[in-house]
Amino acid sequence: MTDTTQDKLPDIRQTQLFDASIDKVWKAVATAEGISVWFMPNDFQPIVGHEFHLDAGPYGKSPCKVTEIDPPNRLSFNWGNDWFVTFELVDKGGRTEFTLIHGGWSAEGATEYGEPHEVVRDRMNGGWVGIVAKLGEYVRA
Amino acid sequence: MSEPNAASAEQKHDVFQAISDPTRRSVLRLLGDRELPLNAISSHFPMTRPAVSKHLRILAEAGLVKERKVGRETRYRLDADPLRELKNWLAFYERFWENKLDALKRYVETDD
Repeated sequence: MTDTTQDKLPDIRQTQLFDASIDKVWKAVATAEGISVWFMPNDFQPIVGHEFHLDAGPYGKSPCKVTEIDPPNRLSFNWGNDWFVTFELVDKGGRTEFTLIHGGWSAEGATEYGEPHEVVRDRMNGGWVGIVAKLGEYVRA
Repeated sequence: MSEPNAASAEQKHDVFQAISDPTRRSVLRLLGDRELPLNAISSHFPMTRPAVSKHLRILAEAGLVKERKVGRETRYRLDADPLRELKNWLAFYERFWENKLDALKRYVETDD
C-alpha cells in the first residue's frame, strides 16, 4: 500500500469460531456458490487478478478484484473503489476460527476517485439498508 | 490539492473529512483532555501556525473543535459529539457483517 494507509480509518474486524473443518469453511468463502449462499450472488473465482461482481440486487453490482488467495487460510479482494475485504481462516483442531476484515474507510480514497466521500457513503448506506433487510427475510424464512 | 484554502470556509467539512488527516487526528488527541491556544498546539507540529490554524478551522467546521476567546487569545477544545455520527456509521457495517457471519456459520455448520 501507499503512504495514504495512515489516512484510513480503522478496519472493521470480526472473528467467529465455526464448528466446521477449515476445508469446508474455505469452500464456503472461496467459491462463487458458497459466497452466494451467505453473502451475495457473484461470479467470483479463486484466482488472483480475477475481476468479478457482487450483486446487491436493486442497488446494482459492485466491481471487485481478487488480490490474494492462499488456500485454505487467506483470501482478499477489492470491493468497489475504496474497500478491501479479507477472510482469514485458522484451523483450531477441527474447528475453524474465521476473521473478517473490512477496510479502506478513507475520505482520501474517495477524493482520489473524484467523488465526494459523502456521496459514496450515502449511496452505500442505502445499499446496505436493502441488503440487511433482505438478509433478515432470508434468515426468518 | 487537499491543502485547505480560503474557500473552504464556505464549504463545510464533515466529520469524515475532518478526521481523514493524520495531523488533525493528532490535534484531536492533543485536545483530548485540555483546552489549548494556537501557540501551544502548533508547537507540537512541524508546520507553520497558519497551517495548523487551517486544520483547526476544518475541525471546527465539522464541530469537533470549539473555540472561545480568553482575553486576546483563542483557546481550542475538543467536542467529541460529532464522532457519534462516525460511530453510528461504522456500527451499521458492524451489524451487517455480524448478520453475514451468522449466516456463514449456519451454512458451514450444517451437515451435508
